[in-house]
Amino acid sequence: MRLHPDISALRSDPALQRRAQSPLLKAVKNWRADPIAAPILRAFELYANGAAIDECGELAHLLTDHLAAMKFVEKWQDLFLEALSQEPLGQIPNRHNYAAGLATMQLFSAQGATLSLLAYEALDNAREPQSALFVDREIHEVVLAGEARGHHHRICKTGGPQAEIESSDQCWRVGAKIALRPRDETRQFVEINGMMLVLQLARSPQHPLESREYSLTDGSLIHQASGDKRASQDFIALDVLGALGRQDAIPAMEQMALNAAREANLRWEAVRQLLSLNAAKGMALLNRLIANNADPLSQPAQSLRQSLTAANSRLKQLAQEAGSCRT
Amino acid sequence: MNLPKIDLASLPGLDSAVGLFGSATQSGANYDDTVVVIMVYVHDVIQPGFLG
Repeated sequence: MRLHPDISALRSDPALQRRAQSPLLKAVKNWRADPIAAPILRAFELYANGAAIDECGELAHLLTDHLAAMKFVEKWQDLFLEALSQEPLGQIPNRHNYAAGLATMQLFSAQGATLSLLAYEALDNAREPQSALFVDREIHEVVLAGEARGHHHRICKTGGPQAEIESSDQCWRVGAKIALRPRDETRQFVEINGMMLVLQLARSPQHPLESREYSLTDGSLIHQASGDKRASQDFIALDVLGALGRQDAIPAMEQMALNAAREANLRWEAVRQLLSLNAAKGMALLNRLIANNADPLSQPAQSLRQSLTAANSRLKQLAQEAGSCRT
Repeated sequence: MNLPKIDLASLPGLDSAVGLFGSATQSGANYDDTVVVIMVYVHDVIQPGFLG
């Protein structure tokens, strides 16, 4: 790999790094204090703390008036382009991402809320989606430039693994507003004309419910995924600790399994891993779960204890030793 | 104490088991924009605290 000498110099010199970053940090400060951005930031913080969009005047205005939104975005661009023209190797301190025709730049982020700029590019191989994903996230968008064709989907009724989905074809142009309720509304951009720029306000609850993917042909549930990133991280951590045979993780697993505030699937994974690490402590944990009838894990724990003790007399003895075994 | 070893694979998941975060795909959707997660790459040119 060949590195430009300026970048090589930057890598080994913290003073240069600070200098490269300095105008960008100044731009952040100016941006937050800017007369256009500051009231919006204050309204955004209200929204992030749970206020309804209508209670956040400046923010609501931004998402209903695309000219105001454009002015806000242009201000951000001006400040950061100016900073980059001084130090081209500086890093824009906003979180950003680029993947498959979509560039994302988070302008503000607090708790589960984000205000982002999304740039969609036309794709050569654009296809009609066969399914749609519904996530636990409230979204308000306004189109700032370009246009797109696509679909809006709304779940009218769900029953088990089946949903009744109402879909409509849409064409979004400059100034178009999109508002999506969490869990039962979604939108899909299918064909972009050139490039489309969208300002998006989004908010997820602290522990989002699972995301559901439904077939658009027959409304069948194709897949469910945890909507809670933290829960999935903990799930993987449990599996790693279990695979490493870490006996010292048992108290933490026990605590997680008994914590009714956490996702049931995560708690159950703690039960599985603990049983596999230490059968005696695992059986004692099953007994504790069974004892609390109001716990949604009580019934699965009962079934599991039944099948384990039926198959293994030593496990039956362990369950009895741990007390309150009624099998 | 000699404890029996329970094979993890023999322990069932819950009926309501779901995939990990981000595992839903939207077959055929053109833009992966429903779940937005931005990973922070910490390059050696960025000092801690410089990312917003």
